[in-house]
Amino acid sequence: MYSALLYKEWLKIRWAFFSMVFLTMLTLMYIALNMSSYNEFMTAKGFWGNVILLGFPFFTDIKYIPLLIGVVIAIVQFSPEMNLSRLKLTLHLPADENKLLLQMISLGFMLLTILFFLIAIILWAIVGIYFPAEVVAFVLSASFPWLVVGVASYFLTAAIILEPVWARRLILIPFALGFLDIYLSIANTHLQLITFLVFAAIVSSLLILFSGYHFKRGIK
Amino acid sequence: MENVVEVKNLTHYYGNKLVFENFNFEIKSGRIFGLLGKNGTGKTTTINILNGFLKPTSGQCLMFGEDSYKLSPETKARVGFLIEGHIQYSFMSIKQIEKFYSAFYPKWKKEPYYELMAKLEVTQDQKLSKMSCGQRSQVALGLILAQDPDLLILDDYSMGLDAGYRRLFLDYLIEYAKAEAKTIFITSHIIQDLENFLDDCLIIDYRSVLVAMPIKEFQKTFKQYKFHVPNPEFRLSKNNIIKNYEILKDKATVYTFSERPELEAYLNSLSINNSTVEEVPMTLEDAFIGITGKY
Repeated sequence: MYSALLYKEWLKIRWAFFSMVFLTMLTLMYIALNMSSYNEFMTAKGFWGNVILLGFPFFTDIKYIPLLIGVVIAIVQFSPEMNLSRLKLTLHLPADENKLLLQMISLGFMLLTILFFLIAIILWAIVGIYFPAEVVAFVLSASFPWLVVGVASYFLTAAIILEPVWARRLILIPFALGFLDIYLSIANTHLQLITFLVFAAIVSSLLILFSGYHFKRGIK
Repeated sequence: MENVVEVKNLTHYYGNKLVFENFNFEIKSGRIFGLLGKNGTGKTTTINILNGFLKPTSGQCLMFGEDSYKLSPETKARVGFLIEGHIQYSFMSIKQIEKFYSAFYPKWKKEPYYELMAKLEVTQDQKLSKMSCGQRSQVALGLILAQDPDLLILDDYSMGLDAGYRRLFLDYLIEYAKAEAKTIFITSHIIQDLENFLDDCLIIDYRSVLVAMPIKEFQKTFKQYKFHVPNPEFRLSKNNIIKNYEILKDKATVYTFSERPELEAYLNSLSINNSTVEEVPMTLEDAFIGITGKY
């Protein structure tokens, strides 16, 4: 049953997923080309000096990409369910309703994890061309919170779309925006908070169960 | 006969608006039960409550003895549900959607589904979103038949369908229901299609039940009479004898469950000439309009 549900979710998500892979590759290619030109025009010494002494942010073009990916995947996955109340079809399936909802988001989560892992690998590879392991490690740890933001944005967008009560949606939207803004603003400067932020992102996935409950019980 | 559905003292409000109050009915196993009513009388609300998609303000709905508010997966597998408008996953193709649902239902039989699909001029890879409303209705029906449920709940199967597709839908359904002794709970706004299909009917109006009986009994006992009234200003009133009436110029039409002598005695008491009373045969649709009124 789980594989059938994943199959259905994949049919909805696949084109958006491939588009997001393409967008990610373009962004990483852009970063790689910029690094190549910095290396050429600043000279390797100048580029190193700018990055290591002045903290030149040569990789920040990727910052909002995971956020965008999370939002887009959630929209393409859950909007068709809410259109004409198709979620009724899923919730009428002979299985536990909460389990069905969690299985639906598990596919989105898996795809985001694959994509974000790809981002980390490629960043590691292209930064490693010019810099030593310490700088590569710094770039990856600085990018990690952005990837967590991507996961949180996916869960929060899904919960907002599935929420049938507009008043609750209007509460969830500013909550989600504030939550993501905090992530983006403090995560880089307070790396010690990252464990908490990862935990909070995972807990935010449970919001979908409340939205699903409201839908299931016809709460308006 | 076992009760497949039991609705007990069901009351529901949308905000302050009462939809129905102390609503009671039951559906016996193997019967074809029609819930009939005008738009906005609570047919879809009842179906949503039955399937657990709405919590009633008070009262209880049981399906196979289980509270519809918390149906077990095993009971859900016994219920085939057609959502109003034949809603299905339109991003899937004919083949994909069959593959998807087959994983969930232990009694799945793909043959009736593909048999029905063969009648449509579509390929198996055609997406539902590229199909006509009539074709989508056949996909939705085929999926329900393949599920092989014990109870079929069909919410306004006729919505958006032309006469041909409505006939095809019902022909398949009748054949299936009779052969497999299935229980069907159906709503529709096209009453004449259901005339030779239903076993039992429940006709509802805003907030109340007007009729709850076998359809044959309803058609046999509910009658329409026409007669002349003394003047166009003459007024009748609804009561135990006259369930509904219309007066147009000097001609009155009354609808009643009473026998002719009882009606005539009543009309006599109103100084109406009995000699003009004439019974007019009715179709199911005429009877439906007669009991619910045109407005």
